[in-house]
Amino acid sequence: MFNQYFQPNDILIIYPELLLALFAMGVMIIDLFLDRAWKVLNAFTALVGIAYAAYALYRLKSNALNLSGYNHAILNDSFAIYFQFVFLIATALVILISARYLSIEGENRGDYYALILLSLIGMNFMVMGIDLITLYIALELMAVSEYILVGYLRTNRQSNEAAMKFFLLGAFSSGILLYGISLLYGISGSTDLRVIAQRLAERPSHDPIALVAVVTLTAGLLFKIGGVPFHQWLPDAYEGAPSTITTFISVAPKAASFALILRIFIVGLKPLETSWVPVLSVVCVLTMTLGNITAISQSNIKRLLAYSSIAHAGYLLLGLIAGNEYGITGIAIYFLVYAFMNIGIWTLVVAMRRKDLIGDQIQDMAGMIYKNPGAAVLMLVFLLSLAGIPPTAGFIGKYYLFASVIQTHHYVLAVIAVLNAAISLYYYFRVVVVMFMSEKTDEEKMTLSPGVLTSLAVTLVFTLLIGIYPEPFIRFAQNSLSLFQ
Amino acid sequence: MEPRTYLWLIPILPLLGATLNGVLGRRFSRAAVSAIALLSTGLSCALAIFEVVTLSDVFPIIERHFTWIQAGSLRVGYDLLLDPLSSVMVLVVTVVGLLIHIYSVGYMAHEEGPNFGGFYRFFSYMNLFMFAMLTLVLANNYVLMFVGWEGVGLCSYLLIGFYFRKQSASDAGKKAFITNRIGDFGLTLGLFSLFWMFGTLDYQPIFARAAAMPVEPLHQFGALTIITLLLFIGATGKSAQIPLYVWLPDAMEGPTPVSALIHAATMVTAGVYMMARSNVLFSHAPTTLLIVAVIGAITALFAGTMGLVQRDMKRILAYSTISQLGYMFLACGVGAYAAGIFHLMTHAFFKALLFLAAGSVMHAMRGELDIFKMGGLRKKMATTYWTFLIASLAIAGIPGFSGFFSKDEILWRAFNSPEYGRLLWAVGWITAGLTALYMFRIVFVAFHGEFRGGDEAWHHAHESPRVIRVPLVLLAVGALLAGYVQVPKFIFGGVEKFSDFLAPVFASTTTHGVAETAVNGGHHLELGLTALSVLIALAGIGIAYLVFRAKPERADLLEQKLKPLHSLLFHKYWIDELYSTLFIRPIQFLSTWVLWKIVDLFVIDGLGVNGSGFVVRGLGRGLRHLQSGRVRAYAGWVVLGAVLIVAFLVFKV
Amino acid sequence: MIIPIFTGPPANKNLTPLEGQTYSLCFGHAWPHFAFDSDMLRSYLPILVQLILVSLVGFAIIALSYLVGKHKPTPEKLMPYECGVRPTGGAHERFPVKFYLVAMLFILFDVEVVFLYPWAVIYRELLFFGFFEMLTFILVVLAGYVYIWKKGALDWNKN
Repeated sequence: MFNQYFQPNDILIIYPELLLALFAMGVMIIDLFLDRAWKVLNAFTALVGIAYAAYALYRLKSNALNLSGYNHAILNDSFAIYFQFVFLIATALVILISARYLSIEGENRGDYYALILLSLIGMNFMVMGIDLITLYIALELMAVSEYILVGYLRTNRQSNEAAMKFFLLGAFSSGILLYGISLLYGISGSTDLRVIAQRLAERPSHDPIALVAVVTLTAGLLFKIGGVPFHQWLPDAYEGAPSTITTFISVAPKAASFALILRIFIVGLKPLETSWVPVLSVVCVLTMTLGNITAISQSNIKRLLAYSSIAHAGYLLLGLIAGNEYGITGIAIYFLVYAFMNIGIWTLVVAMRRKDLIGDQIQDMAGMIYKNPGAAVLMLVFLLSLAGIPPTAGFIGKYYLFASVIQTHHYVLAVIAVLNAAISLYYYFRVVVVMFMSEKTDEEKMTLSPGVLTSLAVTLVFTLLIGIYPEPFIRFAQNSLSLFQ
Repeated sequence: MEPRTYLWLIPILPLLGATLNGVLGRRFSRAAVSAIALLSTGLSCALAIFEVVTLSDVFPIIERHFTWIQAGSLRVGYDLLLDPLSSVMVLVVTVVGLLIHIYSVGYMAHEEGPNFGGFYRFFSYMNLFMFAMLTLVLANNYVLMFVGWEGVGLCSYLLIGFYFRKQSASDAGKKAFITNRIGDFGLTLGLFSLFWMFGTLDYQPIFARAAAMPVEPLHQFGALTIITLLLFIGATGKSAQIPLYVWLPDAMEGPTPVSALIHAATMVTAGVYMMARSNVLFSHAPTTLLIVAVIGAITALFAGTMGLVQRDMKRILAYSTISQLGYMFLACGVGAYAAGIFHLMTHAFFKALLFLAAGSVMHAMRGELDIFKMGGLRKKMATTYWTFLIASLAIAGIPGFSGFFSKDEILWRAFNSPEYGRLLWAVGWITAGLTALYMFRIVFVAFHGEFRGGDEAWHHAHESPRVIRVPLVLLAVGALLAGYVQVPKFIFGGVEKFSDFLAPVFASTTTHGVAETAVNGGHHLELGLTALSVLIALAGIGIAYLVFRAKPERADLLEQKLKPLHSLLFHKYWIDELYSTLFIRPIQFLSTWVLWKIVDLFVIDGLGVNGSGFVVRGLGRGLRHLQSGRVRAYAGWVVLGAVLIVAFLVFKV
Repeated sequence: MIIPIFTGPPANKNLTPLEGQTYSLCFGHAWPHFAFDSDMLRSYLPILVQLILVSLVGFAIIALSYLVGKHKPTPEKLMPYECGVRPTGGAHERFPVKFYLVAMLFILFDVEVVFLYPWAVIYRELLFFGFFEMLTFILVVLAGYVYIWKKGALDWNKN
């Protein structure tokens, strides 16, 4: 029953995504028939879907299948599979912390989970795609789901404003990206990144059309990861979005966008390396520095973490600039680490939310060590990890990224990066000081739902484990090196 | 076929106990906390004994579990090693540790709530310590050993500062930690140089290659000499030797079982263990060996004299520990590693016993430790008295007790050392007399004579409960018998089980190193020297009797007559004050006036933080205008960014 | 108007690039000239032709009616036409927001159904596989339909 357009293999290599799609629709439909008290079932359904998809992905990884499908539009290599695992982990953790938060916000509906799963599908295709059209559609699937999720608190003005901004600017940047894609197609006559690379290599260097294509692609993609000067939507969106969604978009879509950047730049635009490396170096320095310096003066923890996440995007660009095996491994391991430490810290921010307290001011954490010693210590661990202090996982990630640029002799970049890491200590420790040194302002303790507790336990264990015993995780991350093949 | 071994369980079991008690202890009853702590230590102990007994034929056993760190050419695995040396250490640590855990259940029973649930916290730290110490001795490479090394340091800090609401306790904790950091700095440098020189940090390849290297000439500083000196600096920190011994007396602020376990029996011997483990390296660096021997001998003597005049029972024992550790260093310094380890083992028994007995006294005296406020306690506390007496006889080196055999062995080997052998022996010999003197000063002042602490206190004084007495008795048995595994030749032909057992570890040393100490002079000389040391020990006891028991007023008289000397000793040679003037004050001055007032306040705060704060605020103000919140402006920035990139590319190319 | 989007994959092999033909973009004279791979452009020629034809037809109709018809404007003729009665009120009436909702839903499903056209073109080639694919697609659309129905989006009177 198959023909030249479809192979049985095609279905198999996107089996995890098919499952996710099924569950996304399932959650949406099941939700319609659930009582208010049973809405938590939606989270379970979504988690089952993710577990199922993870299992399918695992089977896919262990079976030696032909990983290319759909007329070479999709390449489910070990790079893609690695990143898909990161997305699955991040999404599962976010779903764990969502149920309680949503019921406090009074927005406990199934389409929330459906949208998260759809966004996850988009991300999975973003890392699998090797064809620009596939990549673009996957990107839009992810982005559109995010726009809605950011504005999910319908009665909250801030949330709506954030969603509107995010949507307008996202659409704008997508337009620019699409322009770059069309130029590449115009140059090479193909949307397959590998073919594009061949055609670009045949063309003279400093080809103006190719340069314009690089610029527009860079601008469009940097927008997604919040690179300076395309970062301005990010703090507004992070602050306005529901905290759980901020948790989500600060990790998974960022990793997906970065994987997409890696595919496009390392595979497709490799011949133009000499022109994009200097551009990205400048952007990288600006991103790290501006992110860190602006973070210093923030009083809102969500905004502080938003700027910190901009700075982290800067560190991650180091790996791309190096473009060697160390750099790619560094980016891969960094996102795994980032998924744990960042979700860990955001989980605590989410847990601060009470009926009467939004809990997003740094001052709300005053004297946390007296009220919730456990939470304060956890926060300390995650902050240390974000700052990259051993023996936490963050150190391993930074080590690989910084080492990669040293290997490629970008010493100035390495020095600036290290200086930035030092600056970042300042504002991370400001939070620590407030938690540990200030007097508490009220007596009310945090209540932690089982989901939040699970998420905290998992993130803490892995943040420490990767820091103390990084070996297996690094080997896992080295899967991403299939990018070079 | 390799036998199936379970070495990894030995450290993991206490870790499990520590985790359980640490995380959930708050909700457990005292019985449950004690059960967990004792069970984990007990199982670990039983397993250790089982493994050593069943595997002793096939030593060394190396258990490779997984690669822990892989960075460039450096591979560090979680590999455990069980050979004669580590099995001695493991047995000492687990057996003494178990007894002290049992003792602690009774001792800490009065630990009440104000210390944040002291009971479970205490046992959690103690188990954690066991884990770290066992990791230290079982490690098969320097990095893993270093992890254990730092781990025991951490637990020591936590336990010294256990009563952290007390200023002196938390200060003592910090002092111990900082002093140890200085030593660890040396050790770390040593490890770096080892890696630099050998390209690995696993024991076997390093020792194999070092054994093949030529022995460096005396009085010269070759690569191995430098490395071993650095390692030795680490050992002086951990094992409280000159010049880094100052933390140990203060460490007595911790609960008494801690003093017994960590600051007498196990942790402080880590330095000795490390040097014995690295014997190949040390034996190839005679210069280092000489320095080790000299430092050990001087420390033994100095600490002994300082112990003479202290009034605090635990402090006297602390100086005694430093002094005995000096003996062990002396042994290593003259290449008699087996003798050092032998003394380490016997010392673990009798010193732990002394501390536990002191704890029992302290228990009876409601925390009073000044021996001159005690007296005649023999009548109230028979078990404590007799066990204390056995331990004192052992440490004084009275024939028949364990200390006699080990100390005699060290002195004999020191005498035969080619470099300054007689001098080293003489110092050790005098120290032996001092040891007997200060120990029996405690015995006569605290346990004999009239009670000097008032009626009410006398009324309260009582023998401790059975849970405390049982470990005392068991340790006393150890202190009595542990020496019979190694008996000098002149007594019925001698027993050499211990040195034979350890021989494989020190094999390359005896064949290649300088430590081939020619045992010349024969048994008669050895017998004569032994007689001399027994004599001086008896003399020490005699003097103690005459001064403190027969006519106690003589003590005051003597103190009056030797006022300057007494003052010098009582103030511990003003070493703390000296360090304070030499290091701490200048550093404080530097940090107050240069680093704080000038660098910190002016440069960093003024120019750096305020300056950068000013700049950042300025930037922030500027950047806030950028972050206007208006979508159109944001879009404009995106376009501007793209234009800038184009401009960048155009002007670059 | 339906543009035949699906013209099959460009049959590149049969076409040879037009060697040496260069196009200039308006970047200024200092910029080098460069060549397009024009085989790709060729395959889109039919679309271009159709675009031109369609716009020509549209333009022609308006132009013809303007040219051929007579122009005699009277005030009555220029008045807005509203079913033969005089218009009342402003032209900008406020619509219920539901109107937009229904309109959007209509467009959504409409666009999805457009997908059926290219499928129908090569239905025979796709065989049963294509049938099941389309069945899946319809099911997805159906799920969306059930969702909006249950949510009450189609119920005009619901608040």
